[in-house]
Amino acid sequence: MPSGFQQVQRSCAAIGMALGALILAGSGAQAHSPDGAANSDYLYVPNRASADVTIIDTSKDQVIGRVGVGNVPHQVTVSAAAGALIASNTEDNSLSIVDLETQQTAATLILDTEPEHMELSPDGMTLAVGNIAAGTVSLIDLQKNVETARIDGFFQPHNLTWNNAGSLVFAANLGANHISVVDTAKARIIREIPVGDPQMVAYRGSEADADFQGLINVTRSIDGKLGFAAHGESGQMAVIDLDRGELLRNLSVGARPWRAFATPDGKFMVVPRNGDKTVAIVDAVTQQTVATLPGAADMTGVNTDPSGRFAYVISRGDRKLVVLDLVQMRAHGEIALGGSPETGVTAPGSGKLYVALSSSNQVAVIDTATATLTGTIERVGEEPWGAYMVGAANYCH
Amino acid sequence: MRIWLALLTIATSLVAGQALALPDRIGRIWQLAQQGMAENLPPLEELKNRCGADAVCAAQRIVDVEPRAWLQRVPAPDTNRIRLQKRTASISRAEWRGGRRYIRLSYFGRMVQTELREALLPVAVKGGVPEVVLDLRCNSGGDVERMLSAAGLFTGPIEQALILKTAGSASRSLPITADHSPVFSGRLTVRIGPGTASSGEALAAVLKKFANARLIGSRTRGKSYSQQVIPVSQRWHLLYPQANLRVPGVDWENGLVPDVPRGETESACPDNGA
Repeated sequence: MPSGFQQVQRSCAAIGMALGALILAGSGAQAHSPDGAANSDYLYVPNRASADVTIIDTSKDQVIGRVGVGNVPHQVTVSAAAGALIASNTEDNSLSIVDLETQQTAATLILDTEPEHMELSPDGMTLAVGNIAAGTVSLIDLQKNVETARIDGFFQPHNLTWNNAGSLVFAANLGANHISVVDTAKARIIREIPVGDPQMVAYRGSEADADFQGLINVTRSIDGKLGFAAHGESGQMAVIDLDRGELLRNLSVGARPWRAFATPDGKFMVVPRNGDKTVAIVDAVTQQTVATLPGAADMTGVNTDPSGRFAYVISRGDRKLVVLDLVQMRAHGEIALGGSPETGVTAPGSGKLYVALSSSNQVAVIDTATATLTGTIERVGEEPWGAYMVGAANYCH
Repeated sequence: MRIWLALLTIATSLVAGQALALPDRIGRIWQLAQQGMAENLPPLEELKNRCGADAVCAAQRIVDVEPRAWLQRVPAPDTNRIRLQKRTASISRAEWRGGRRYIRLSYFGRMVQTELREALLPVAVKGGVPEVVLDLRCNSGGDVERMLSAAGLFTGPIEQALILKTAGSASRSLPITADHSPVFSGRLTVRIGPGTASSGEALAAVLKKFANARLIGSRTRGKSYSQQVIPVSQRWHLLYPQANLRVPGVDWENGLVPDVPRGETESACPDNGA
């Protein structure tokens, strides 16, 4: 039985979907650039509790619109090629595809149970969506706005990663010890790449362990040739040839790694280790851990400044950013945040870092040149869950 | 005719190629299980003949003939648990009792070492002759590596902390690695009872052997083997017996015997359920 609050949410979302995507803010600004393509100055923020996506003009750091989508949008992405804003609505088992030109909902696709994470193909015309509760992955044709395939055989598929050619998708299985490799032309799993050793337990009886954490993500190297997949239970990280879909090696990265984040200069993979509140810095070329730096509680994301010198590690547990200097290989400072941070994105043009704060309905704005919090964008929506910009290093948690 | 033959050949090779490339999940499950205590493991061919490509069917068959194995239903993915990093607390109580630090360790959760380290910190601050009572009466086991990371806070690095012996003659040891530095070296009492089982018993044994812990209570459960968690499907994990566990010079096949007997019952830990 849904609560009253949930019912209101559902009604709001239903109205929003029936009317199409609406610009709610008073500025009247358009959610697309004059040429109709996705605007690289715009920041897109999915709001889980208000069932919409907020659009922020980062040249002014102002909210210019809110687009209604389905319930509990987990992730948002923008295909410049398709001219579409897409939200995965976890509660509704659906995908909202919004035409950026007309600002209308072009399609609402019903997928499998709990679509969450999604990733665009290199040409921006195919979307892979993980239905985490069903163990399936959907492939969406963004030219026709249809689900062309629903592939079974995953174990709580989390983040998805394409290779450069667009021929393979790598699915990180949160509920298992392997990466599933999907041939996108055949629309089927063609290989499973084991990562780490299986968990070893000793129980008295059949107690379930809900704390199992398999794989969160396959992180592309900057040139897209390699993938780095950290395995939470074993502390191993696989290095994968993304062109061939083959395991190259496993390396140890320490206690309870979350996932790898690539620095824009291609030098490092930054791996938060929630097991001991530290951050492993892995040389992306030699694939050796070159430093272990202090972290914080419950780290869920890493962003950098445009040069890649400073890493901003998001700590949900301590509600702060830990700033690491990757040249000096030492802690540089901390930035306290006024709410619970989710994910962030560094604007490709200005170098400003935007972090969604779910508990305070804000987006924090950080100047990455000076490592200072310069302000917050207020009343973003209810429970902002992430931050997305076209052409940026986007990620989801 | 030639065209049809050519097409047939291509189709056959494609099907064969796809079949070869598809993940052989039953084969993987069987291979992993075979690395453990596999005396009751059915032949791979039998599993495939019986179940085709149905991995859950094969895992169920394995459980049918191996009483120490079971299928564990995987909880539905939960954003709040996984991505919000919420977790089951490992320590259910930490307090001062008559000048001693009392810690009830009921579970080996993902942050057990951090939680235990924080629970031990007040002991270092207090000064004097430190004493800790670690209550494992409600600890029914869990992840072996996490258990060793907790033990390391008392023992420091140990090269052969735990011996794993499979059904054959093969054995290997698990260390407590150098990155587990000890934070407590005072007097340690470990409370045990019939509710102490599996990894809980292993921890008591490690602490007795390597941290001079005194065991107080009553005989433990006597469950002395580990299981390997083998993912079978989105919904099921197979827990398959992997190895007999023992600490050099100590085993608990029939339960650990306390140094100081004291009547204990499992009702001493009503919140047991970890």
